[in-house]
Formats: sequence, structure tokens, C-alpha cells
Amino acid sequence: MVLFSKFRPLLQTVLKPSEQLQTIVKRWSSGRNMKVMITEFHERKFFDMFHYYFLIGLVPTFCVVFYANVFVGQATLTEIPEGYEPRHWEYYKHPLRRFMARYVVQPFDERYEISLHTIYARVMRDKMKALERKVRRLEHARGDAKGWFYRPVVDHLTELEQKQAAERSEGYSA
Amino acid sequence: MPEPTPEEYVRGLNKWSDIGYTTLDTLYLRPVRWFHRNFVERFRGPAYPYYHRKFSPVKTIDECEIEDQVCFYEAEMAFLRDRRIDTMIIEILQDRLSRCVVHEGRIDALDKCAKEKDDLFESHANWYQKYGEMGAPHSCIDAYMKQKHHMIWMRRHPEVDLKGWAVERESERKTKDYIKSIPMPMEFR
Repeated sequence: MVLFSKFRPLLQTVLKPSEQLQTIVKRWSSGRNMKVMITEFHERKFFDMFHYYFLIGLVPTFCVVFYANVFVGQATLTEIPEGYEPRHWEYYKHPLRRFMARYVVQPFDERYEISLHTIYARVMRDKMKALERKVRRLEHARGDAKGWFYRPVVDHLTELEQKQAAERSEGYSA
Repeated sequence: MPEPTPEEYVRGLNKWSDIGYTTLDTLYLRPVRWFHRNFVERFRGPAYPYYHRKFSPVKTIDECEIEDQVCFYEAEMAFLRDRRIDTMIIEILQDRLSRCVVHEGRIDALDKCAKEKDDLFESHANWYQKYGEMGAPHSCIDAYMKQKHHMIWMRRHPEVDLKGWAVERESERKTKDYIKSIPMPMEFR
């Protein structure tokens, strides 16, 4: 990173613009030629971006990772003591992984329990809907229950139809 | 620990491996060990534990009630965990065989690594019997049905060699015969 300033002279020696490209402007006095050079724009932009991401990105990351690996260290595997329920981040070894599990990421068991709950809720919802559909079907078929649509009106014709249907199902006598 | 630790490097067998090991040693191993001894062990904080996750036993698919989707999900997760464990067992056995072969050499391995080879062969056969050839995707119910059909088939065909030990032994014998049939001086074989 510190030797980036040495790159440009090397570049000029390797990719020297040929003599033919050196334009001689007639307005100027003799001996003054405009030197056609390779553009510096891309170099400056690259170095700028490199320094930006290095200082703001890599350096803090490297320091954090260095500290976690050297000064904190990884965990040692132990048996779960009697009567102790380990917290969900204590199942991981690396300190940064523990940090992520503790503060950033959803716990492993929580995901499982949420899936179980969603399945249960879905099943209950489907059962309730099926029950409602069955009730509505039977009400429509039998027509004898006081549903939410009930109007207390005596329907003589319907009652007569039902009586005659019962007599028909019993069978005609000769 | 069930797996053996790697042995110390023996210098003097081969000039080029000595040079290679010495370069790696001076470039990587010595600086890292020096740093670890002088800085890391001095300034490291207190040790703290981590545990292996314990999964409580749940009902398997054959004990679940009809239309109990929650039970199905739990049984499926248990099935996937067990399959992953069996896969890791196969990986460990494969690793053991390859270490044995590298240690003995390709020719001596035919005689000396027979145990590891047989273990791997058996575990492969068992894995295939339990989890194999059901189509992707498949569920724990497909595995259960496979087990049922396999037991029925075994009852109807009791004389069949399912794992194929005879075929395996035959192929081993053929390999050895072929190697013996190549005319070569004894010190190279």
C-alpha cells in the first residue's frame, strides 16, 4: 500500500507513448512539445477505493477478528452439567459465532418451535373451516335449523312439501 | 478422541520432502508457534465452555396418530438428523481407509486395510438400504414404506445375498490375481 506511488514511473517506462504520438503544436515556441501521457484517472480512482475499503472495512474487521481469536479464544467442549439448561449461544465454539447467535441471528430452537406452531395453527384453521362448511351444507340440505339467516316466518307450503315427501318415502299403498 | 493425531515428521527419508517441510516450517509453523507461545498463551482470557446440542426423543413416524401434522414434522426432522449422522459416520470410515492406504501404499493396502474396507463397504450397504434410491424429494414416510417392503421382500427371498459380500470378495480376488500376473521384479511390487 505504501509503494503505490512507485507504480507510475514503472508504468511510464513499460508503456512509453511512441514518439509519433507526441504532437508538436506550432503556436508554441520551438522546443516546447506537448507530452502525451497515459491517463492517471484510473490509478487515482483505484487507489482511492482501495484505501477507502481498506481503512474503513478491512482494518476494523481485522482488529475485531484478531482480538476474538487471540485474546478471547475459542470455547472448550464440556459435558452439560446436571440441572443446567445452556443458553442457545453456548452451543457454539468461536466467539464471533457466539456473538452472532446471541445478538444477530434467530436461535436454532426458536425456528423449530415456530414451524411447529405454524403447522398446528394451519391444521386448526383448516379443521374450523371444514366444520363451518359442513354446518352450512347440512343447514342448506335439511333447512330445519335456526341459523343466522333465520326469519321467523311460517312457510305452509314448505311444511306441506316436507309432509308429502315423508309420505312418498314411506311408499304408496295400493 | 476417536480419530488418531498426525505423527511427527521424519527427516532423512527424502531430500525434497525435507526441503519442502523445512520451508513450510520456517515460513508458517515456527512463527505461528512462537507467536502462540509468547503472546496468545500469556494474554488469553479465561476459558469458557460450549456444549453439544441434545435433541429430546420424539415419536417416530410409525407411532404418530393419523393426520397429526405436528408429529409428522418432528419425526421428519429426527429422520433427517439421523441421516446426517449416518452420512458423517460414512465420511469418517472413508477417511480412515484413505489414511490407511496412504500409510501402507496402494499394493500393501489390499492386504492390510481389509478391516477398514469391509467397514466402509458394510456402512455403504446399510446406508443405501436405509436411505437410498427413494427418489428426490422423499419424506420419512417413503423411508418407512421402503423398510416395510424390504422386510416383506426379505421374508419372501431368504436365500439372497443382499449386501453383496460374494461379489466384493470376488472382485478383490480378481484384483490380486491381476497384480500377481504382471511380470515384475519383487522389489517393486
